[in-house]
Amino acid sequence: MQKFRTCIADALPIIVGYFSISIAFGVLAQKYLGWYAVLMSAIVFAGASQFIALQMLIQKSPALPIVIATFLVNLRHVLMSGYLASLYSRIRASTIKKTAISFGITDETFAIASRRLKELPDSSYHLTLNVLCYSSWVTGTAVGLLFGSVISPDLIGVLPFALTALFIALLVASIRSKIDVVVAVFAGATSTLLMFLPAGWNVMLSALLACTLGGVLEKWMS
Amino acid sequence: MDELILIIASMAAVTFIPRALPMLLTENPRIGFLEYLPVAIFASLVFPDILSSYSQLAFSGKTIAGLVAFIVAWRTRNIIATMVAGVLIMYLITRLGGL
Repeated sequence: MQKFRTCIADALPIIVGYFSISIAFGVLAQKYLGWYAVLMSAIVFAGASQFIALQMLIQKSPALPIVIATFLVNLRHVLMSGYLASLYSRIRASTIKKTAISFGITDETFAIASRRLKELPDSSYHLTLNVLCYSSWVTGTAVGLLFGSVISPDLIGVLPFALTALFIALLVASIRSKIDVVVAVFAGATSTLLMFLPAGWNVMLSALLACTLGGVLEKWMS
Repeated sequence: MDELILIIASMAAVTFIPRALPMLLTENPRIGFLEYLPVAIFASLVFPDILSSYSQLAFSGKTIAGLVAFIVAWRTRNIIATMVAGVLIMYLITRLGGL
């Protein structure tokens, strides 16, 4: 029970953030996708790529570029899945459970789970966290479709900032050493300078470079 | 077959594969260098977002709201408080006509 409460408390910021953004997605997609927007949220479950796909569909893009863009934007999850694989070498979980958990890997669930699993090595915790966040994403999309017309456009415009603020809070909370500061500043600067790359690639490349830098610094300073 | 369903199903497939493969196929990966991945990813996501507007480097309402969120996060260490403060400042800036 204690475990479940921890899970709810950890999931809450993501639930709030996902609900906000998926409402925005539902509102924007209503005219072009209708209920397919909920299908997309339910089986793709990857925010940035869904907004990009929506934009491309509105611009009447053919299918292949949309699928390729989605792949490129979401490829960064490969790093998170690798990181989690190393944690799961010490956590017991069936293949089916691991498959279900890996479907729910997002920037946000990874951020929370990668911190918590170190002290609470429990696959049920992880699966529940992902399911809660997933439910919020899918429900929010449906709410956006149904009630989009009664929500103020100003509010819909600013809601996505909820997730930016979530990451700011997580960034501040995860800085514990000088190396963390160097890694964060380097990653932030590199990712900003690489913004001209297709979405997602700046994040993946700068994260890879910055955590390699962190590893090198750690060896060098010890 | 509805083309839209085909597109969405393909999107689901290409999204799921990179999420699942490392976790399902690697037993005990040597990824010591990924130790700093969480910090690196948070920073990589946050900075381009608050320092840009429509993919161009820019000082915008997001920059100010981001700074406020940083201060609130630093002082309170509270995720929800940080999110509320950030969105509130963004909303006020938007209502006041933006930057």
